[in-house]
Amino acid sequence: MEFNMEPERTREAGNTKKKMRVKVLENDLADLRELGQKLREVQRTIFKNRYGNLLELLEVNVQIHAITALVQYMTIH
Amino acid sequence: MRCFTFCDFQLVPTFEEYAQILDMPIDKVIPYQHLDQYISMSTLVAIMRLPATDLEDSFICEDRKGFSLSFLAEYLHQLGEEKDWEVFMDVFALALFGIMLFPKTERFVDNAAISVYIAYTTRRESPVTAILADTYLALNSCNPKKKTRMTCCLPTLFVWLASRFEKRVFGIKCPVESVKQQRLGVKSKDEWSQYMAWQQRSQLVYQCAKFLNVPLIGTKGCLNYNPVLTQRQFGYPITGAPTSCCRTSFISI
Repeated sequence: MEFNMEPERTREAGNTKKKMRVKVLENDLADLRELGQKLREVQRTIFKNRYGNLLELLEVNVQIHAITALVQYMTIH
Repeated sequence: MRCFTFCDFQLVPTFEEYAQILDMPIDKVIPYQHLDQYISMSTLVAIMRLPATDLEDSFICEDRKGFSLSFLAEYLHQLGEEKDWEVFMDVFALALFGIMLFPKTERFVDNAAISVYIAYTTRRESPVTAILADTYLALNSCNPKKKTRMTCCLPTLFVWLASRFEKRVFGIKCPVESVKQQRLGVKSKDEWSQYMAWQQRSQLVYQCAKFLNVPLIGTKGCLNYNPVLTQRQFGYPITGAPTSCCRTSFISI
């Protein structure tokens, strides 16, 4: 993912940050997704009441590039 | 204080947003306290419904305490075939805590994750603060000088980021459904600020009693949390410069 912010960045002198090399621990969720499919509608509702949105979060396709790009915008105040 | 700075505005994942993404209540619950790290065999037997002798062998793998995912997956398949859904749901949630919410190493459910799970199920301690603390700690460990490895709950962070671009999510209860399959593309600066606002709340957590900093306890350490600079994220103007006390960071690992 890229952000169109180059003009602003170059205008501010000394704001050229070194790119952070970040490796992300990416656990393979395929096994758990497959197991989650076993739950039927009734059980999914019970699970949601007990543990919130975990089943929905399990199905989110995380774009690792988006996360590593986001990290570049980290600043300390 | 660490936050994401985009041109002239700051964004941070907040406690309220994470609670909404995870759909876990924040009112009238206590945050994760990091008590009782020792997990007794009888507690494990009660969750897993397996004889202690079977559990002891698989609980400690290569000097680490915890279960491997392959062990849990195999057991879950067995429970699925037996249609024992009560135990299935408990063990499945335990696996999700270890692999998705509190990852430490690949395909391994760590002792710390199990302790958060037990705290949630027995003492109703909310894991939201622990997830947020771990996310901040992972972001803190990022250093331009060396290659770092980030270990935190990625789906929540991604949903938090992706929900910024989704116009429809404004005002609805949980943004997960709409961003599940979303792919982020190139965004211009205007689009960024357009989609900033996500939720409006009348109450925010930004103080702990009289103290300006809110302590957050995670599985890997604890740190202070102070979203005073990001009131704009919730649609409030910032009325003055934050005091130096608000900006002092405290991290203990």
